[in-house]
Amino acid sequence: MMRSLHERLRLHHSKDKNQKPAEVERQIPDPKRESLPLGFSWRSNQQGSYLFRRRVYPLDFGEGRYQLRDLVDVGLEAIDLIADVPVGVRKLEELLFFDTETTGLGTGAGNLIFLFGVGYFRDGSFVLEHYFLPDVSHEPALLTDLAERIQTFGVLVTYNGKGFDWAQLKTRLTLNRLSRDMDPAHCDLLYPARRLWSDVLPSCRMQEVESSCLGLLRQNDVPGHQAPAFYFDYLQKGGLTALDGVLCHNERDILSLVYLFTHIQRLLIGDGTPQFAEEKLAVGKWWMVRDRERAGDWLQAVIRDPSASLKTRREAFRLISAVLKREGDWKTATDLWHEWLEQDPWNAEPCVELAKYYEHRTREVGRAYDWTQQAIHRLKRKRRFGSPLRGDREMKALTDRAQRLEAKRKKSLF
Amino acid sequence: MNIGMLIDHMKSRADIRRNVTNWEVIPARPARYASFPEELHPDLVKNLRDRGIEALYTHQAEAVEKVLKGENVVTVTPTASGKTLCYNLPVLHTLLNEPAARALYIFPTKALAYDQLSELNWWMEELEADIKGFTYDGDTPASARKAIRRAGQIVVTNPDMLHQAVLPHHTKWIQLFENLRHIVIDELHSYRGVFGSHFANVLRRLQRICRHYGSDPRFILSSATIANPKAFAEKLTGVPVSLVDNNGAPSDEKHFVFYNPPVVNQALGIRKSSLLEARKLAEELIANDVQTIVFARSRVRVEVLLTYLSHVLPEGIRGYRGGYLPTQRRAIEQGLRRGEIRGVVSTNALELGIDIGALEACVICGYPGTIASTWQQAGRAGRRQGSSITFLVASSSPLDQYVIEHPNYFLRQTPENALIQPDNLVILVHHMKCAAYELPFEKGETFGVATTEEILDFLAEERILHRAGERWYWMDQSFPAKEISLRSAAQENFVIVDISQTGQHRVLGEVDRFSAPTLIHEEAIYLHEGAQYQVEKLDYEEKKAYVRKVDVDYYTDANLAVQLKVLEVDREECLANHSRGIGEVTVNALVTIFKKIKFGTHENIGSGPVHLPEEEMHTTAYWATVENSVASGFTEEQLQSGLIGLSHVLSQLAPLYLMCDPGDLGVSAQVKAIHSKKPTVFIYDKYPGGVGLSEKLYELHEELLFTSRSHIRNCTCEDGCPSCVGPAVETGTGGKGITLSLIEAMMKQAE
Repeated sequence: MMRSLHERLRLHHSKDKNQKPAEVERQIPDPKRESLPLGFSWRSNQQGSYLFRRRVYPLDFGEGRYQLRDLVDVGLEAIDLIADVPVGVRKLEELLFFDTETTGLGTGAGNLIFLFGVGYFRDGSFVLEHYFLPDVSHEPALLTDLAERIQTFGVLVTYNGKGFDWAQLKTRLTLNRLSRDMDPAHCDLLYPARRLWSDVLPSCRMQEVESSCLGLLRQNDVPGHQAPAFYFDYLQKGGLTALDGVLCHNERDILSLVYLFTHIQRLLIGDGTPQFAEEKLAVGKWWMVRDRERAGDWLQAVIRDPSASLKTRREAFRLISAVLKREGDWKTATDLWHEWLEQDPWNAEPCVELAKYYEHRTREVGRAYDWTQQAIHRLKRKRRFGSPLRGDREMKALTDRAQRLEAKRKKSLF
Repeated sequence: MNIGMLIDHMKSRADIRRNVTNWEVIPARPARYASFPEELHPDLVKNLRDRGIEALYTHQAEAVEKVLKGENVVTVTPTASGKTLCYNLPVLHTLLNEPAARALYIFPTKALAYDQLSELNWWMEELEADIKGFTYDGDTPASARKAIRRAGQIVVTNPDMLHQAVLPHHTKWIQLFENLRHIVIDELHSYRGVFGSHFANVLRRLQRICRHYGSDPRFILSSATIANPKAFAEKLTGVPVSLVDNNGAPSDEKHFVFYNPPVVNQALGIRKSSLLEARKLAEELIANDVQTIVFARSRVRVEVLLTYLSHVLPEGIRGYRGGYLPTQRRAIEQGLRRGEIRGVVSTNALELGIDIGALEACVICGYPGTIASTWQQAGRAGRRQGSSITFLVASSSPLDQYVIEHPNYFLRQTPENALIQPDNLVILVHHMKCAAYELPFEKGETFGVATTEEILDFLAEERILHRAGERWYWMDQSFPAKEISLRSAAQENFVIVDISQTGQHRVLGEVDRFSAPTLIHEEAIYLHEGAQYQVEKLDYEEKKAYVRKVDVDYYTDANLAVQLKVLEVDREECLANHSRGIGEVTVNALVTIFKKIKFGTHENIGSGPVHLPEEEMHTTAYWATVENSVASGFTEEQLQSGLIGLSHVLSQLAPLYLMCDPGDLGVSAQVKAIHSKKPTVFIYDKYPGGVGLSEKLYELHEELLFTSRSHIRNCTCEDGCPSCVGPAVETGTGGKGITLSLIEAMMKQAE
């Protein structure tokens, strides 16, 4: 007798032969009759129904270092800097804080978003809404309403939304053949976080940033990677209350977005003291394009900061030096190089700057030659005690310069 | 000496002549032309005229006309017959008329895609139309991908990329899928067996996505000569396809020489090694400055031949096979086109239409296994004008000997059927998972098979899909396309790392998982670019083999021990003295020992153990069982010997009927089969679940036995040789006679 198809399927494809088969057709409870926990209610449109809840937080609600109100006080001065493009939004009410929970990682077509969390400021409070999908076949209903909601806002604030949440929403919309010409400005806080903390923190994961910078420690949190399993379970067995942990997690993510946005803005506008010298350096670099004076102040603060690592100070010296050279402020520049020289005794760079200055600006060949020799000396010492294999090209450039200067000097003698 | 003179000279030489079983001269054939199809875009016609092309070959004209009429077309033509025009013309025609339209070109390898794009680029420049064509594969820089997805009018890619990158992310390709008008698939014949069965499912997924976005593309297919192009194309694509096979391309005189190495030991039926004979012929051709390609059946043979031939012309000879890095391959292809490389030794990797220019001679070392492949390889010589010559050098295997002794079988027979089994349960279900990931299944939808819903429900039971109302949704955290590779059952390749120089380890190449136990076990000699490396350590967990350069006078060959158990008999038919059967089996394969074989003489000079885990596979097998009435006439030893002989000849001749690689089949002989307690010979599909080879053999059972019998009868050896039942060392004394009487006894009633 030939094996049945079902037996052959089990032979080749069963993940776990002892597992009890799942029930294929679970009756979705009748939306009208099931009483709903956790403050959810049914919402319906022509395409179907989904679950929705709204929670309103007073502005004095807060965790860790921040309250929601702090953003109202800080304002949106640095929003263009955070978004990296001119946003043209000046009202807090136009911001939408956005985060999702999905059934997997990656942005492939099969990754479903089952929970959307959105938050916004309205009438002196903070509103947090959840769009939840209890029956996957009704996804278009949820997406249609959500897209409409999003379109009433001017700016999206997310953490890794460009690469994930927002990209995945677009995938879902396209998959369901719903309109896709939605393009709000987007402040993805992952990029500012990386600029500020990638050198200081072990990673730029949201939770890492929360605990180190926002003074926020999550307790009893359901980690994001467990969310799919909870949802699969819900689809099998029902029972919305089991999802409370996932909902809480998402809610905290949205609130953290507000705190993080507040924190980054405060750092940028100089309201409050930065924790790390690396932050000052990052902020200085950041302002460079839009406000050079402001950038200069930050970088000066770095080189005067005794707690800053040499690497950080060196980077600040480099940046200020580049600005001064471009502006042709040679007096300040030479002072800076001398200061750099003292603070960074193993580095040939300031000597090279001085050598270039005397060779090309003041045409004092002798002084240029001396500074080149000084640079060669520093480099040799560094290679002797440090890594002898590195700096070959640097050394070649210096000896070439020394030879050239030597030739120039001889020429000027006769 | 030019090639014409050299051919005459070689033909007249007694030392060559006496080994030739047939010297076939295929006369030159004039071109047949047809005028340009009337509706063809005037810019294209003007461009062709500017290049001095006043008419198309008959097959080109017919293919273009049919595509323009909206038919799916498969064009069957030999190498170098201008098949690319058959698809480029209608595609460019469409793009000139409707710039929003899109076309997808699929080639089996990246190298071919790369080749094709050069030709397309040439067209785009000539036409001065702003047509955008790009390759999209693993080498495409991430920065360019977005623009290609949005704006590429012609996207050139490969099945693997389609499977893992394009289809699972179809929402990012909306412009392509909404406007897809043509799907071009070249080298159709290469999509057979396991790879083809996967590919057919990838095409099912592709068509699903197209339907979702409202497009209904036509297929333009192109294939080398196979027996069943239309049926094969239709099975692969699942749509009706019209056949175009009135080849109008001209060809020049071709010499096709059947060369059988001389017998050196009559008693054992041992012939001179085909490798050494191929070497002799190739050396002579290369020494006379005839650009030559040598085909060998395995990577090891390629490397051995390369070692030999490099002595003739150290700078001018190169090897070419899977496992070389892409940049190396590009350099070799270019060297061949420019004529700087005078000889190349290749596996069937160069059988496909990679542009390596015109070669003058071809030496095929060992019958490639199929008529179609042989013609493809021979087509590498004489692509342009002038005579060319191909030597087919037979090895001692029964298949080779059958072909070399029956040149007419080869020359007159239609080539093989290309077989695929898209509904293989293992393959099908994997792709259904991928399909569900891409788009939920709707009730009533079929994915190739009538049992679609039953399978979907099974996947729902397994908690991989979720059924909601009338649909099945993907409901798992994994990314299913990552879990299967189209090329083999193995998912991960082994990387070969050269540790000869301390601190400067480098990656030499890759070996697939199933080949790993036989090729890179510890102490194996791994040959790469003619150099020898010994495997020092095989890290099975990490999939890495560490090798060190050595210089020894031998290579290694590993033995595979196979155990087979029938799980389920699907069908069995009693034919008087024997029966045939087919069913599901488990096969356990274990490499236990390897041999060291000396270069030059090919004698066995030592051996060693291999300690590697056993591989287990569920698959389909066909078997022939000897009934007790016959078996009782033989002693157990005789039965053993006869079964080994029978299994040897059966498994070697089976590929005559199946367009498959001999390596796609496995064989096992059991004096007392576990399921029936009767003497049985099994031939099984070497792929989980089976890909339809066993089914075909079950049908062909009578013919197989008949051919085996006559092949053994006609063999001139005394008591068994590698060309019929196998050498006497394997079957025992009298093995040939015993095997023959066993077959005769089995067939008695049937006649």
